[in-house]
Formats: sequence, structure tokens, C-alpha cells
Amino acid sequence: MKTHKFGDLLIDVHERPSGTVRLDWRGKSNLPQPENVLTPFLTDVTLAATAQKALLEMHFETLDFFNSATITTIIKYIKQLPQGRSLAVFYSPKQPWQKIFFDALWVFERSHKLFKINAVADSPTSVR
Amino acid sequence: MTAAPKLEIDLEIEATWERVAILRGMIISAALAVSRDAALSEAVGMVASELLENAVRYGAFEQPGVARRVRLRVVTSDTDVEVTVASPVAAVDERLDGFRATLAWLASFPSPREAYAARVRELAEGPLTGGSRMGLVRIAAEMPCSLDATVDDKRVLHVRAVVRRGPLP
Repeated sequence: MKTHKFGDLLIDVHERPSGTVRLDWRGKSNLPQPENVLTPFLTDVTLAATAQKALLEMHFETLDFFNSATITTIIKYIKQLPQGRSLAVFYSPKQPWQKIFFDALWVFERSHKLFKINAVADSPTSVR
Repeated sequence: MTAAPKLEIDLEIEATWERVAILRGMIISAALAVSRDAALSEAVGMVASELLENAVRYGAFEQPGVARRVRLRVVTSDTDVEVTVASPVAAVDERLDGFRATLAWLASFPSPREAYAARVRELAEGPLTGGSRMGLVRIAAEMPCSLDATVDDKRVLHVRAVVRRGPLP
């Protein structure tokens, strides 16, 4: 497992023998221009997972906070996923701000058949 | 009936990104100490943070005689939490018009949640140019509140969010 730090945001990257690359978002994503660092990072991870023919999972359940600039960055990333690239995202419906955001992402499930959104009901609750 | 505990914060801070992150944590802690409502406190912290980020990002600090500072006020009453962020605007500034246009756009939906979903859909399906407006849209959706903005005679923009919290338990 390798942890990448972007200000107060940490992203753990787990490469599993089962053929899954799992990213766990932790902490707070509050950089002024998160796109400048997150987009190249996520692009690299996605290309590497594709080269390995690995499934790609992103877990947001323990993320404490993201600012609106991060919302836009995540939307741009998903929007630019290649059509053949699968991505599963996981969130905590106990966090109202996560539920509102991921509920709104259904539009991508409609347009991108390999994009799946998963609510994790028993995810740990984070405060700040 | 005993009056609810009061929170009153009035700070003028240097307009830097680092201060916003610090203040968000402080606002959440203070709101939690007063209200004992974790969800409300998180939401008030988000509202303050998004308004401060907008002020730091778009404030007209480069004018002669204008300090690079923003002002944050968080005041509770028995039923409301009022968050106000003040920052300088230029003589010709589109921020107030943009703010009002976003409020009008929000009001065109049956609910702020539907506006949020529509904005995500626009970002997903359309060209990604200009400001996202996502800060105000998420404030309205995550913490239903009234939003307004005024510019005073010193050319300071005051953006205010009033959250109805209801009486304390």
C-alpha cells in the first residue's frame, strides 16, 4: 500500500493480487486548485490499472470533507474516463454531503455502463 | 423558557487559503459546543468554508488601499445560524451579478437538491468552462438556507447564509 498526500487529503493505493486497484480517500480535500494535482495522479493510476487489466475502486467512506473545487475535479475525472474503463465508487450514505453528491452522479451510470456507485451502509462515521 | 446558548464569532483574517482550512475546523468545534448538533455544526463549517473560499479566490484585493483580508461573522439566535463573509469588490465587478444569477437559477428548481443534481448533470454533459457555481449550489442543497448578498458604500461584498436550525433540544 502506498499513501499519496495532497495537502490535508490522503489517498491510499492498494494493489491487490485479486486484480483490483483500490484507492481510499481520507482526510480533507480542501486545496484551492485540486485539479492541478489530483487529475494527473488519477490519470496515472487509471492508466496503470488499465495496463494491468485491473478493476478500479475508489472509496470515499472515510473522507471527512471535500470542497466544491474537488467536486468539480471528480466530475471531470469521471467524465474523461475511457468508455471501456470500469470504475466502482463507494460512499457513506450516513454523511449527508456524500449522499447528495453520489446520488447526483447517477447521470454517469446512465452514460457509462462500467461506472457503478455503491452506498456502504455500515461505513465508519468520520467527524471533520 | 430559557434562551438558547449563543454563538457569536466575528473575525477579520488574512485572505489566504490556509486560514480558511483552519477556520472551518474552529467553526465546527464552536458550533458543536453551543448546539450539540454534529450535523448542523458540520454544515455550518461547510457554509463558512465555501463562502470564505469564494471570497479568497475572487476578492478584489489588488486595489490601492485595500487590505488582503476577509471578515467572517457567525451568529446564532434561538432559531437561526447566520454566516456572513465580507470581501472587497472592484469598482466594476461581476461578482454580485453572478451571485444573483446563481440565486435566480437555484430558485428555478423545485428544490435545492434538484438544482444540485442538475448542476452535476450540466458539468457531466456540457463543456467545463468558467466558474462551476458549485459552492453556492452545494450550500443550498446540503444546508437549506436563505442566501443573499449586498455591496456597501465601501465596496465590500457581504454574502450571507441564514440557516434555520429550529429550537435546541
